[in-house]
Parts: sequence; structure tokens; C-alpha cells
Amino acid sequence: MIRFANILFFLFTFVLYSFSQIDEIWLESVYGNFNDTTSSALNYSPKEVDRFMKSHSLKPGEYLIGGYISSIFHESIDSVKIIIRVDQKIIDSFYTVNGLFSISLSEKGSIIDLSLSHPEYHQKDTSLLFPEASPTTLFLGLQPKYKILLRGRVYAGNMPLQGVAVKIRHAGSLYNLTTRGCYYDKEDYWNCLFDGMFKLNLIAEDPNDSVYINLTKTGMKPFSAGMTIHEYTGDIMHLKMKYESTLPVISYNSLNFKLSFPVFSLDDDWFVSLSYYRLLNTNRLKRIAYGIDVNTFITTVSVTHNTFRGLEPSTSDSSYISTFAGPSLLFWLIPPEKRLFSTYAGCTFAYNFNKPALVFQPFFGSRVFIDLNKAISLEIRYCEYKTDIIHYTFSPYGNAMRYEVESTFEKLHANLGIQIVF
Amino acid sequence: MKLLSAIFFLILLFGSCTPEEVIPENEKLIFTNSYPIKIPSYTFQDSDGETYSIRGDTSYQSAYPDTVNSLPALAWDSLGIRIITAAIFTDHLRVTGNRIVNTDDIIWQWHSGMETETGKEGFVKYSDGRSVINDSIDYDNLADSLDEGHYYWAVWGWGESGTRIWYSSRELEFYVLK
Repeated sequence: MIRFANILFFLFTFVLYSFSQIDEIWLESVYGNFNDTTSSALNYSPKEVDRFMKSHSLKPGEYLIGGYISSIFHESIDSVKIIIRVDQKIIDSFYTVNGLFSISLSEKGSIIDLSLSHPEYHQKDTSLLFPEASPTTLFLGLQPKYKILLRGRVYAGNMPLQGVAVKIRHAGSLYNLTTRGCYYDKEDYWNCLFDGMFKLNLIAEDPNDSVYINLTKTGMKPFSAGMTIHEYTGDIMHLKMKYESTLPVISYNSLNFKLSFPVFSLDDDWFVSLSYYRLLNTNRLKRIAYGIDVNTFITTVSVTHNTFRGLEPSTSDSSYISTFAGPSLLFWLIPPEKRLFSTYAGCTFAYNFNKPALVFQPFFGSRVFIDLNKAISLEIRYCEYKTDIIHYTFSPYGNAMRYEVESTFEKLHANLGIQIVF
Repeated sequence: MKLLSAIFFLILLFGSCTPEEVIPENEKLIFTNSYPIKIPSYTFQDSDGETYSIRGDTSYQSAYPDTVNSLPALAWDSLGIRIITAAIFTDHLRVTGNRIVNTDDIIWQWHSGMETETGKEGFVKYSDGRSVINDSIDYDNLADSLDEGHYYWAVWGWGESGTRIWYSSRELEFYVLK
């Protein structure tokens, strides 16, 4: 039994994992900690450097040369590559460890040349006469290059845009990045703090170096921007991409929710509609869609009747809900792949559930995409249908008597809709 | 989250519709499913200056009725409603399905369409109303005075739409002594 439960649990987790948006999960182990832009610096005092030098044991006839390499801001520089030459002859090359280095030379020369290089610092070459005594302690300073943390957030309108391909060109180098999405952080919270963001550490020799940023994403117009290193203020750049005038792919299915308020109607009606359309997949003409439409009119009707002699007639309001459902045809006058103002006309052949009959609901509308798969629509719809209206006959001795009269409604209204295409 | 927001919006949208008001049952009223019209104790004088007292709701189910003259005045706590009526019956009122069934027992009636300077909703003299003959109000003639005997009266009113009884009083009894 427990084994069976385990199998079920495994299947459940497997299905959950398969359908989760795993591509949006940001793996810290792969991408590192986005927020960590600082490093801890180890600084050594001259006494500590002396102690380091004295810790070496030398054989007779050996000369010890060592020291400490720091930046002009007195920060230790790790992994500085040092090439040491004695009388123009390369003796050795090695790296500093937390800014400390040492080498023992067995043969005496006349001049020692040291070449110091590090990708984040300007190259430094220095020379010294071969020392008479050992050890020789050197304190060297490197001048850093210009280093900026280029950060930006890409938007489509006011929405951060994830998955944008970011190409940054600088000094002959091309860096390919992608804007981030939301992700589950270490504490298992859905974190959208860096949604649509990218960052890159750039090191430049010259503050007048140019940096070019190119953004591309399917369905969006390419975006390009350029600047020099010294123009960058260090703030997060806000880069806005614009949508292409057409959708990248034609979506064949659309789900629509439409709503009309009393102010949109000639008769102060409410209207709610839910519909589904599928574009006819023909090679020649992708403009005809068929689907199903379910909608409801909620209308208020006022009837008047006389009461006592000498009194003004009374008015009674009643609300009537008329529900329709049936197949619907739609023709796109302007192609549906257009993002703005794709205009359509169509007709729903609906069954009136309240007063069994078939009714026609011709409509004409237009839609505007707010992103790549969601759109808002404005539509004008006409519907003529019959329903039984309650009238009253006043009774001086109690509640009024009710009777029903069949009435024909002619409804013309505008409605607002939300569409999801897929 | 977006789906939840949409559902919340729809709940707000359709939840904002006001349900029909439910009136608590009150078995003491002539229309049990209505708000009460209270009838206070009051007095009135006839043309000879004689004063008659009506005990109002306090006389309900009393062992003896109030005694009045043949032209009694009727009074109740005014509600300020537009459609209201008061009627005198020769027998107990019988109500079935929110309608008075013994309408042929009505011999006098006043309603808010008959309002005058002296007879307004809340206090009407007998002369403000009219006799009822064969379930029909005789608007053309002054009401005939009541004969000696037991009578029953009540007041009831409608909502603004005039389709449903919203207010009613208890059934009260008086005795006309000539």
C-alpha cells in the first residue's frame, strides 16, 4: 500500500514537473548570484608583507624577490600575471595570491625586468638592479582600467520583457545575453525582482570607448542603442521595445470574453458573452473563422399601470435575462495577424433559451493586441428576439395581478472584450 | 493569479445585484408578509362636540370594542407612502394569498387618491371616504352613515410600484351606537 502511494506520489511530482514553467526557473548554481556585485578585498600591511617574505627559507646562493601588488586604491590584486626577466632572459612567470608573490633566483644578474598584467588593470613594466642582498621586497601599484557594471531592463510598454536576446559590442568583443524572467529563489519564493533585466561587467581602456546594445525578440522591432563608457551613469537603463506591426505567428484559436455596460447600449442593457473561434486553415485565405458563441442579455423593462383614481400611474421595473448559444461565423476584413485594428464582421446563429427560437446576431468589431497573445476588442452587435414581459393589474385589496405579454426586443449595443489567442 | 482576479471581478459584478427584500412574517397584521402600520390611541369629536376615544392597537383582542358614532374618524401613524387605503368592513377581514377575499363586506373606503385638506394619509374623517357598493367605490355621492352594529377596519399600503402590499395594520373593531 505504501509502495503504491509512493508510486502515485512519484507520478504526481513527475507530471507537476513536466507541466511547470521550468524554463523560467533561474538556477543559481548555473547563473550565479545576480545580486552579488561586491568582492571582499584582503589588504596587507608592510609588516605582514615582511613577515611573508621572512617565512621563506633560502638555500645558499639564492636570491629571494617578492612583495605585494595592490591597486592605487590599496586593494590587493589577485591573479596578477608576472613575467620576470633577468638580463632580458625570461626566467619565470607566475601569479600573485591575494597580491603576494615571491620567487627565488639562483643565478645573479645585473637587471631584473618585471611585467605585470591583469585584465582589469593597465599593464605595468618595471625594472630594478639585481639586489646585492636578499630578500628584496617590492611594493607595486597597478592602475585599474575603467570598469562598469552595465545593467538594463527591457520593457514592452510598461511590462518587463523576458527572453530578449541582448547583444553588447565593445572594443571588438561581442557579448550575448538574455534578459531574465521570474524564478524561484533560494527560499522558494517566486521572485520577479530582476524580471526583464540583463547585466554585464565591462572593462575599458578608454572612457571614450563606445558600447553598442542590440535587442531582438520574436514579434518585437529590433532595438539598438549606443553610448560611450563615460556616459553610463551606473543606473539601470530602461530600454523600451516596440511590437512589430504583425504577429510573429498566426494564432488559429481565440477565446473571447465580452462585456457591455448599460451606457454602451440603447436600452441600458448588460451583455455578457463567451465565445471561441478557430481560424479556417486554408492556404489561400486565412480570414474565415468559425466557432461557438454563448451570450446573455440582461435588460430592464418598465411597465406602467393605473392604481387608485386620482393617483399618477405607477411604474414597475423587472429584469429579464435572455440567454443565447449557437454557432458563429466570422470574417476578418483586415488580416488577423495585424496587431492593431484587425477588423472583423460576423454573425451568430443562436438559439434563444428563454423563448425557443433561432435568432441572428450580426456583429462588427475591431481588436488591438496589448501583447503577443492578448487583445482587447470593441464590437457592435445587433440582436432581435422575443420574450414575455410581465405586466400588472392593480388590485385595491392586495397584491397586483400579473400577466405576460410577448414583446420583441431590438438590441443594438457596443461591447468591450478581452481575447486570448493561442 | 490573473484567473483569480477575473473570477473576483465577475463575483463583484454579479454580486452587486440586490436581492429581493425579505419582509419578516407578522401574524398579527392583516397581510402577514408586510411591515406594520401602527394605530395609536386617538380621539375625535362629532359635530355636537362629543368626544370618542379609539384605543388603537392596544384594543386588539380586547374583550369589548371601542364605541363610536355613525361617522367615525380613522387615524394611524403616517408613513408618507403614495398608495394607501383604509376600509370599514361589516365582518372580519379574510385574506388569502395576499388578497382580501371578503370584499363584499366593505361598506366604506378611503384611499390616497381622495386626499383633501382635511383628510390626509394618517387621519381621515368618515366624510373623506366614500361608500362601497358591490365592490365599487361610489365617488359621486357622500358616504352613508353607519348603522348601529359591529364593524371592523384596517389600513394597508403598497410600494411605489403598486404591485405588492408592503404595509398593513391589524384588524380593529368598533361598535356604532346611534
